[in-house]
Amino acid sequence: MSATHADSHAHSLAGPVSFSMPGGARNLAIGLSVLGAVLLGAGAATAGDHGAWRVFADLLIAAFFYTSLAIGGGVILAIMHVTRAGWSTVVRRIPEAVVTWLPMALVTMLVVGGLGMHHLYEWSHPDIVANDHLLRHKSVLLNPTWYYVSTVAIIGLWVAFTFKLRANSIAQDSDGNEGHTGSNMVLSVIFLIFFGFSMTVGSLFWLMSLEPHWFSTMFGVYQFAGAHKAAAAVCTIILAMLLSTGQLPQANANHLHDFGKMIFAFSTFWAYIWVSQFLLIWYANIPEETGYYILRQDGGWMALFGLNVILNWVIPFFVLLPRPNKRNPKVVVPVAIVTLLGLWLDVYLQVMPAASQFAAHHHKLDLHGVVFGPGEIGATLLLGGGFILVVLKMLGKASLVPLKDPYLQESLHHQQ
Amino acid sequence: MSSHADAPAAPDKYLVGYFVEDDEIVAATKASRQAGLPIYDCYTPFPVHGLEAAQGLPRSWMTYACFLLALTGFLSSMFLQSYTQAIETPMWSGWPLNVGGKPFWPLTAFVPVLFELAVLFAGVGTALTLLAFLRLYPGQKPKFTLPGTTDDRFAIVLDTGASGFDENKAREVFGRHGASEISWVAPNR
Repeated sequence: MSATHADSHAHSLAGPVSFSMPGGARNLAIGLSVLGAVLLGAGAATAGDHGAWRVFADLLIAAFFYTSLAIGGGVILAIMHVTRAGWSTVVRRIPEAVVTWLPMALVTMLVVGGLGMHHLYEWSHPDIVANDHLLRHKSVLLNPTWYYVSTVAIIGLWVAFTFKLRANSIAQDSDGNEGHTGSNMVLSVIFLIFFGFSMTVGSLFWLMSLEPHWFSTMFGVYQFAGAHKAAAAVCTIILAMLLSTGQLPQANANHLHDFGKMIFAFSTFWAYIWVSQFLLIWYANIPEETGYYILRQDGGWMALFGLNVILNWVIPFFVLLPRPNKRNPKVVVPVAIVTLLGLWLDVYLQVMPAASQFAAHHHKLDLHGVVFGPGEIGATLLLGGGFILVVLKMLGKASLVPLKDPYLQESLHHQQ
Repeated sequence: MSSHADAPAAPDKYLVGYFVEDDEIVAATKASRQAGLPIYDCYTPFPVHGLEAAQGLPRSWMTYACFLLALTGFLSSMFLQSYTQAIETPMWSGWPLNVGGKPFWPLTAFVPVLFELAVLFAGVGTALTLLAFLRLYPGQKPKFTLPGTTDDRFAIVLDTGASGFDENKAREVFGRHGASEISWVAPNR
């Protein structure tokens, strides 16, 4: 019906818009990984006695950070399908590439959990659990079996859902079947409902159980908020790269603007959840809950605790508030990078104080204050190089523009 | 329709081109500007993306009003909460309460109200500012009566009082972009 109208001013899409990873990006990614491995080795060598906990804490930070980015991309993708978004079709291959890190996310989380469990998680020591009333009761869930089952089931299903979304989208390029759009919408609804529960359970095992006596009922939402805004930042950076090199001439500042809005909105959502979690615990002032924040405000952690809010909310909010800034790659890309640093610091602040406290107790180590060194940077760069390689490689596996998507014309003419 | 075709351009008459598609009015507006036709305003049943740019309108200052209103709400909330909970002077004072041993000036506890009042002032204030600026208040009469422009038609109104107005050129530009009707309208008085 409206096809004839759309065709009357159609942009010509002669064929697939191809992309191949620039050699510079490949070399950069490999270089980052090598540098990361060296730094992680240096960190391990200087960690001193019983230093293994430090290496696994570093790896947990990095593994969870990139898992967040990948699943955040999956959520952005699913929301595009559920809302039948018209603006996003021309840039949808970007989140479809970001989710392809998820199989590696499963591998990295299992390696960290499998090899590092006894170094990180107090509840994995039967002798400690036996003498701890609370942990004995929690051991119904907090035990290695459930940790592995949940990790495999949750990330495994994330892979299944997001790869099916990606496969349907790519299949439509060749067969032009509009049914793929409908099935992706249904699939996305189911995925988003599952994601809400699974992110809560997953983050409970991976991060919250680092301090098994502590609990927060909004922990899963908090992880989701951080993941969503950081994934939007990754999509923004990739889109800005494609725009600046002219590889995606069908997209323009209007699409960049929308990703910028997503960073802006979900930074604010993150701040909302951050305040909510903090406020309830601060107000109630119950020792078993406040321990989490006291640990993170003492011994030099306070500066990072404040910096966390500045990087994750203050800078994105005030810089991205004016409209022109969201449309300018020179502004929005640095803010996206700040946002990524913010998520990293956020994950670091959840893992490292808890892990160092447990190590100090368990090994009778003299650990006080901020623990930061080459190892923390190294683990993140090591996996970061892999993340860049996987995502850019998979970005080139299909046309950069979904060729026969029914919303393509709307997306090409998107204006705001 | 074109009974006024030979009428001289009078300041109390405006030439209107009607269109049935939003794309047409954007294209026609662009072309009118390029042809040097003086656009008085465009009237559409819904916001048309790209029309402001086509008209060459400057960026709206409404966002700055919104920001200042949010700031006003934020500061009002800060004053309200600080005054009622923390400020005590010999002249006037609030009513400081000991809530669970918390500080008397607990900024953490202020956050929800700071947020809510900033949003309330920004939301309601921006809407009222817009209505006041557009002079849209009860009893206001519409400037023009343009049939269909609140329903399914889009209209470009040309200011024919401007010097050097070329009616034939206007009709040519409108016609070229698929105008469904070109007619004169007198403003309501």
